[in-house]
Amino acid sequence: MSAAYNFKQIQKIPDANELIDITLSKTQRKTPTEIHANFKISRIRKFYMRKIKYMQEAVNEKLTGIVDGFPKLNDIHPFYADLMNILYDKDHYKLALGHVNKAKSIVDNVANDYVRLLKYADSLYRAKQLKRAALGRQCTLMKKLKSSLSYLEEVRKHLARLPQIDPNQRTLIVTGYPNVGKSSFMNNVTDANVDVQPYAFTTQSLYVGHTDYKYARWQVIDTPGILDHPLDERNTIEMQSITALAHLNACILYFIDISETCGYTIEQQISLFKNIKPLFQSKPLVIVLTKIDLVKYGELDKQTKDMIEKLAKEHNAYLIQMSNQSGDGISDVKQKACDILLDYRLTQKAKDPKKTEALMNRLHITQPKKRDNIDRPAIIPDTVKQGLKKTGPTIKDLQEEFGGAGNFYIPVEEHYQLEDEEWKFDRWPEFYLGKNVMDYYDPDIEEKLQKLEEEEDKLLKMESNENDLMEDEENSDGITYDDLKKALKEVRGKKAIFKLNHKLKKNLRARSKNKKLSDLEEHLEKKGIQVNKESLRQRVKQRKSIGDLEGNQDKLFNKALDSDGSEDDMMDVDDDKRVGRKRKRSMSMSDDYDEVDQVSGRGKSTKQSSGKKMRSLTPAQLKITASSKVRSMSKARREGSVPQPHPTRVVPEEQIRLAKKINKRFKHTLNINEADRHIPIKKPKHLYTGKRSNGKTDRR
Amino acid sequence: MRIDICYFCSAKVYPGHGVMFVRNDSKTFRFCSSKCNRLFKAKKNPRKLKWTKAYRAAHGKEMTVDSVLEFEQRRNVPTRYNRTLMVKTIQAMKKIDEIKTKRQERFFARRMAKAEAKKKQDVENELLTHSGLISDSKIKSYIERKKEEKRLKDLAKFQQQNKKSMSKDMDMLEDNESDEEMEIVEKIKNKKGNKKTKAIKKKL
Repeated sequence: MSAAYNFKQIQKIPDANELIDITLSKTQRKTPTEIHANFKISRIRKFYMRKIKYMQEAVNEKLTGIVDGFPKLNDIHPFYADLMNILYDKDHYKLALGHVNKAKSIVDNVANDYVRLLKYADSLYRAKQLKRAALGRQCTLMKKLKSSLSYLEEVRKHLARLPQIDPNQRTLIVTGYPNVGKSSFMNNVTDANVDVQPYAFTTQSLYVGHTDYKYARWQVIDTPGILDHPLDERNTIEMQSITALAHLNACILYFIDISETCGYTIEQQISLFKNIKPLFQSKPLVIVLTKIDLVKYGELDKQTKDMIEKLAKEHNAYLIQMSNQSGDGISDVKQKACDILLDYRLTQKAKDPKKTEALMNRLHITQPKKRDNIDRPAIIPDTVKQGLKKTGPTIKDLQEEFGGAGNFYIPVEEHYQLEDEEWKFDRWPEFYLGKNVMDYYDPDIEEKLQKLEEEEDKLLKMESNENDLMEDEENSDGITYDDLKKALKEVRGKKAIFKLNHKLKKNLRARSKNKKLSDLEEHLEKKGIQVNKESLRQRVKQRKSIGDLEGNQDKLFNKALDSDGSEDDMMDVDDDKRVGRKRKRSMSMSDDYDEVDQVSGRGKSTKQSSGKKMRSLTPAQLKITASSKVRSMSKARREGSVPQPHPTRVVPEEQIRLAKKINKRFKHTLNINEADRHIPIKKPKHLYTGKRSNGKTDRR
Repeated sequence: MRIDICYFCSAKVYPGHGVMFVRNDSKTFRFCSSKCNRLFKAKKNPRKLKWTKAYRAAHGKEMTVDSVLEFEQRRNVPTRYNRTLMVKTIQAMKKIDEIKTKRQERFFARRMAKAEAKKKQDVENELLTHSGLISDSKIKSYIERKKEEKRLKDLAKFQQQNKKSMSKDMDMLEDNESDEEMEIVEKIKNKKGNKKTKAIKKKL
């Protein structure tokens, strides 16, 4: 079917008001909206010109769309043109389309006029008024189209519902008086579902159904019934069938009700046939005699029979009997009609020299030639020709005899093809020594095994030789691994002791680097600093000389070496004590020096800080720390002098007790507790910016 | 019916036991136990689990390359049943099995011996550095001897290396043919000679 006759594709046509709305809103949407009086006048003019032009374009586009959507009566197939003329009145149709087309050009003119006028607008207000007028006039023009548009919309709706008849396809047209069984035939033959009622003019328009015959699609067109009167008096319903008959190049099935139950006599029907005869001149024709279930053709009068036969002969038509009720002859009618039409169309085509040539070009007939005279018959083996003959009972018989299916074991082994017939029913192990026997089943196993055994013998010999050599080579003097291990343990123990001692001597090593007192004195004198030798010596006296200390250590060390590890612990403890005492003293001293340095060296700022410190202490505490304080407050040491121990004041016992008590209280209160909890930043930036990656909640 | 091998741990799976998994590319996986099945599903690599045969094979703890192992194979070429061959096969299987066990034993022994020797060597090496601390005279003398051996060995190695580098230098020098360098080379040669003589003296 060609797309040209698909009238469903025509777009919906808006009515006049809708059209106005569409075009105006489109103009509003698609053109700029902002304009101010202080803009340049040229800009204002341009702004409004654009609006007018745009409106014109929008209207033009819409109207051309409408005009182009409808089929042009001159261009379409005459069948459709005629049909549309009958249904919608050709003049009215053309007028409506012409009206729309004319409106288009008028809108163009109006727009052009106002654009020209706008060139003279000298203010925003004037320009705006001109634009208003232009759009208004365009709208009124569209309003005037109201009646035409509504008519076209109706036409469109009706066109969409027209049956899709392809004028060029193979077509059968069913025609005849009303109520002769045309629609019933359609329902019987095609996939269409036409309304069938027992009164005249049930079918009021054309219907199309499709049927298959000889692997092709055939259109069957059902027409409304025709009455026998002159062409001018026919109504629209009848005219539709007339157009179909007149313009479609099809096979015509003229139905004659021989039972006359349709309300018309056979003579009347024949006269109608004669009346419309010019419509199907030179077209294949079948005269179908229907309702033979009511009246048999043979039962008719001889006169009427003759009449019908004569009619058929005159018009070169086929006579077929048929009954829609009983279904007799329906397929005959279809086949006959289709065959005639096919024949007709082919002869039609053959008449056209161009078409035949095209057809012949596509045809190519080949005929195989004989290659040679050798005979090549099909080869069938002798066994197949003779057929396999087995004697005795079949396996199925045996199965039935010995307990039926499930109990009977079908001896598959019979068909085994082995070297020895006896082996057929052998049972052999599948597994052996936890292995699959089939994994070892190899035709060459014997040779391979032999090879393996030889190899094994060779290997054993080689290995025994190697072992002998190894024994010869071994020169461990009978020292075993255990012996070595024992020795290692001993060595490790000794090593550990060495290490420990080395550690213990660490402090001594450090001290040994100290300068001698005499060296210090010399050094200072060289620099020209006076030294209070006595006080220096006094300090040194309090310590043991380095030589003494080292001697002591060595003694201890030797002792440890001689004795077992158990004494090591003792020695450790001993030494720890010594070290601890020494360190204590030196540390306190250095503390003292620090404080002195602070006060003497730095002046005000340090004094302030020390003052702060004082404030936080209670009087009792102050008293307790009196000794150190006294020293810290003292004057700066002179250069070259050495600090002398201050006479410490005795603190009364009562005061110590009190201080301890206070200290105890403060010990608790000064602890940082829950109340001191401090959140530095409520929402730290690093926790709230960026993406969280997989499984991370505390950082990004 | 077959005795299959567990895909994961290589244990034998007798018919009617274990689980078989058939992947959508129709590869079959037989598992001896739910443990192996589970580990397979968890995509564990059997070569990385110490208790599997795959691990042991991959780490040289099992005999993997041997002619005995070539006897057991899946055969894809069907061979017709033959009674005599079947008898031979079964007899051969027994022999193969014996040889295999023996070889495995030997393999194990060799492996253990190696480990033992290494342990001993380690102990010896540690003792070599602290030979002075050993009280047992017998062991001490043994270790001293070893020490000397090792020293000589190292020396020989060093000399060999030197020789190589020297020869290279010599080649280069010959190209240059400058007298000074020749002298230096001679000096170096002498030095080497001295060392050698020293080593020989010590040995004596």
